[in-house]
Amino acid sequence: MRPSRRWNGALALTAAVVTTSPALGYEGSTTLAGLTEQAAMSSRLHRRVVERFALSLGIFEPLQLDPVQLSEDRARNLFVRLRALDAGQGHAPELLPRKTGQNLAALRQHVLGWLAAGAVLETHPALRVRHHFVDGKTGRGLRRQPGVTAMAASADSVEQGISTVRQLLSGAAMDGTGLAAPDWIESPDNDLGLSTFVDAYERAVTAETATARETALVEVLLSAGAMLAVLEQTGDPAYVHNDLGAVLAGPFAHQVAERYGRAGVPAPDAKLQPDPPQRFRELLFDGKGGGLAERTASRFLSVGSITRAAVPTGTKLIGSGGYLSTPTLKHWLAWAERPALVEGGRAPAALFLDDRCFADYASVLLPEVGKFAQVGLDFLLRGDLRLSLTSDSALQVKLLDEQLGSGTLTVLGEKASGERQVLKSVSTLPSRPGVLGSVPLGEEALKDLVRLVVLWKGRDHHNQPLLTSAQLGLRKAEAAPTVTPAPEAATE
Amino acid sequence: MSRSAQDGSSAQRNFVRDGRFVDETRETGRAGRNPRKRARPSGLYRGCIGRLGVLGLGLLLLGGLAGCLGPVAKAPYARRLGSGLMGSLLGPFDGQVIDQSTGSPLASALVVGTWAFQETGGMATPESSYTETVVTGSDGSYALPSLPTGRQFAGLLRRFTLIVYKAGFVGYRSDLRFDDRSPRHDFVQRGNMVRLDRFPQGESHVRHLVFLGGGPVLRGAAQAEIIQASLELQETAPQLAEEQPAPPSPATTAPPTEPVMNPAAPLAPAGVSLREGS
Repeated sequence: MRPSRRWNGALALTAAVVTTSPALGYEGSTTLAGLTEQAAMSSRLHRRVVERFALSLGIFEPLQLDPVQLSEDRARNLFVRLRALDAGQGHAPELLPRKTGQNLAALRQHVLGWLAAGAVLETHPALRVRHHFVDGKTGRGLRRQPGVTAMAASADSVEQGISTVRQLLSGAAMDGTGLAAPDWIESPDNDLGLSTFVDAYERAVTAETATARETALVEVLLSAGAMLAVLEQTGDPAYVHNDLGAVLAGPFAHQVAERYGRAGVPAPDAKLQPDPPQRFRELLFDGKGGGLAERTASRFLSVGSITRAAVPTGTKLIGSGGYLSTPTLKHWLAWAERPALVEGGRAPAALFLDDRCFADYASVLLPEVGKFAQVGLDFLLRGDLRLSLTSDSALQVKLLDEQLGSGTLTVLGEKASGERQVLKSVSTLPSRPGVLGSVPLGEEALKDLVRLVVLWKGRDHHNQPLLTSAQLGLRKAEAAPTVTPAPEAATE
Repeated sequence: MSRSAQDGSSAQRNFVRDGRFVDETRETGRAGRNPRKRARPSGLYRGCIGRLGVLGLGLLLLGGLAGCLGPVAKAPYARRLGSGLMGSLLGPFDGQVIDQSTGSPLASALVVGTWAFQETGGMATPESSYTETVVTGSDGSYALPSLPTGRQFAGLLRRFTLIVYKAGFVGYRSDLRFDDRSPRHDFVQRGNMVRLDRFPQGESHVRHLVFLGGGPVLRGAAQAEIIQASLELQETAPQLAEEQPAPPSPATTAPPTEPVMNPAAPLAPAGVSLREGS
């Protein structure tokens, strides 16, 4: 029987409709993951995971996320979102065989993959993107256009797929507003934000079992990746011009995804040196023009932010069309003559962004975004320590780079079984790079231990919270003990 | 699977407008909406639920006929080289893997095909993915089946990625080239020819592994290269503070020049050249 035209149409609609999804700014699976990977490769992440966590393969070391170590809600939430990731891009974790009695199987991925996965999770569910906006001039988050009610914005968000009908019914749909991106990073409601990062980092060092520490380290990487993704989104002009329409329509982000994919994203701009931030949020917006959002907003336009005011005063547009350019962008803004409505009259030229503009924007923006992400990742893991054991079994802690305020140094011992226990906890005084202090342990305390680990928790010299850690394999240290001066700054 | 579902290209062409992909589902939804209902929540809820219910039932019924597949995006590759026909993301895929330098077929190369789905709500958020893995035969040929019809797949089938890996060679991705990271335009669905270059001396294993991506099977096959990459990073990764060489003297360091656009500054009369603020 020959199928009717209606059936043909219906089947085509369900099975083979040609679509492009509206982007959510830079696409998570490709652009954000690629930017994050490039930033990580240019950062000190590899050396830090080797030195702090004794992961010999560094960013290629496989780590396991064991759902048993998490609360049931958190485990299920992460599991569902992680299992949705695109396995072809390299950040989807591997599903391990489920053990007896386990509701959810463990997931495995390498360090770099977890970091990139975190960047993708930041856009999933889509509702999270409401908090990725930051106005490049004012620092404010997403706000509704004048005349748009919360109800209308909520209904639109359902139609656009950002919110679900259930969220609409429960009043949780996106109402056209959101936290400013820097606030979202620090918000306690953000399950992949700074608070999760700090909490997980502490557990990644101090948890008793190796499995618990490994799972916590995965959470650290997911949170770091997610925060980098929020930072990277401020390198999309739509997010810094309060242009939700452009974020959803995504012509720029779509072109970037098609042109660069994940693996083609350029490396960070080595020449660019962003101001060293005192807080992570300053990389997005510092109020002085140095944040990525401010830099993006001051030099780039989004589709919905083009007005006559964007064209500098006195500009004469000659001919029937062309481009305005800047020293760094050949195609900054396109314009074309429009037919006059009245004979002999002159209609204002149409201003728009086309594919050439988008290509130029991407070629300038992506390396810059990557550099900010690299600086952000290095900032999150700042404060390197180095440990050595003196001949009288005292643990000397040396501070490499960051000035520290006061804090607490916790020394843990690790047994061959992987179990860790606290040996000592001491307060430390503000310190400059150099010797932070020395903790006498005694030979008896080191017996049966294969590793010493320290966690320093306190505030940096800008009074910002900081956690850092270091570890020392004891067999190697015993073979080559280091003679060190007397304790300096540590007070028990 | 029905003919329509299998032959994605014939159906897909119906939905290309003005050279751009069209989200038919969204357009359909908009066309039938009465804007006045937005101001009346109860009506809107009923409308949404009613429409979603009917749409869901329709999708359920049609899903059975169409192998439980949702919408499928346009494939960015041709069916065959020079055929002029658009390929299908659904598959099947076949081709041959050869050594670029000798032209001889490469047996036992790993071929990984991944179908990635995104949410159908219209947002580019990941929904799920499905992977098939095969190994090339003695003649270097591979054949990946179509996306299986017996499985439940939700969301928009957004992309298909083919990765070919053989130790000692530069890997292949269907979307990008390794040498310049530019988009690949020579991938075809059927009769695809994969020419692998020998892994050049001095080429970065880190860059290569990150380029490849791929899932656990590929990571397993590339285990030796992972170790090489981590050794490479021990030498090339940025140093920690103590190990960093002394910074150059200020006299030799040029200050960073990052011009900031000043929209208030007047343009040159030529019109198309724009200058930035100081």
